[in-house]
Amino acid sequence: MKLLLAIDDSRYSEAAVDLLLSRFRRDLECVCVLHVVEPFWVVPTSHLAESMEAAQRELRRDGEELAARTTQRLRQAGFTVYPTVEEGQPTAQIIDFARREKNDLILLGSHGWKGLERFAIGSTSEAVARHAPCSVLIAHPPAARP
Amino acid sequence: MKILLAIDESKFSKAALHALLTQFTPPGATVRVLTVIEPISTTPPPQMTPGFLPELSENVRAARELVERTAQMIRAAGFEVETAVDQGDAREKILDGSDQWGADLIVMGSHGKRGVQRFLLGSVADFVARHAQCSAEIVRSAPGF
Repeated sequence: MKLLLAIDDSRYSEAAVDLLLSRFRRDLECVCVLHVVEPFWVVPTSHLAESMEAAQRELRRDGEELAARTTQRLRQAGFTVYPTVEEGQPTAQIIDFARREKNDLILLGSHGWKGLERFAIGSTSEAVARHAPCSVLIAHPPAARP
Repeated sequence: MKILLAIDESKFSKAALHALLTQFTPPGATVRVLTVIEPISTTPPPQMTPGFLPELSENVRAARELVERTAQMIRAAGFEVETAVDQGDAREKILDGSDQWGADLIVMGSHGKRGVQRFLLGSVADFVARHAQCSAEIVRSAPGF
């Protein structure tokens, strides 16, 4: 079974990683760790373009560090892991990745880092659950339960 | 860890069972196999008192057989297992049942036995994914199902 773990830097993603570590068999075919860097949706004027590019590079570097950190943790636990960082709209990138890599299951947190907790799940998780070509596991942090 | 496996007699539920058995490690996990009998009409006729409806009791018997059969396979894989049969609205009973039992994870198929597959997600799975207070896995398919 090929698992896709879609993460960002949030406690919801942490819940997804915890679930993977605590409950999943180590003999899965592989775990693909995917982090999607969202581009700034601003039209760059010339004097802004340079600083925006720098900020984008920084976001990408943070994302690569996050993916590398998570990969290391999972490898230490005995999983076969491949990290990837993509840029674009998260839902589309996650679904395209799963289709391309023929993942059997997408595991992701219930919310992203922007997480509005008054909704039970965030917009990315909801869209992925609806449109994914494969199974989807939405992980909630244990404390979220009343 | 408590895993609620919500099933009916569809191939999607078989895929959900298969996913549970192939993904998870048994130690420390308790699985509750739940099936919900949905009445055909939402407004019961006045004569529909407990013990009256013979066709419903036939459904209950079939449902118990289904959960017991499924539970045996899960038990054989090394999990702690219990079973439950409930009646009412499937969405409501799965969510209420998971809250009351204190489930950490709900596992269910993407469609039910009435599943209209041209939609990517059935109405029960969609509702559970959006409203569950705990983690939820929606199983779409597996080889051979």
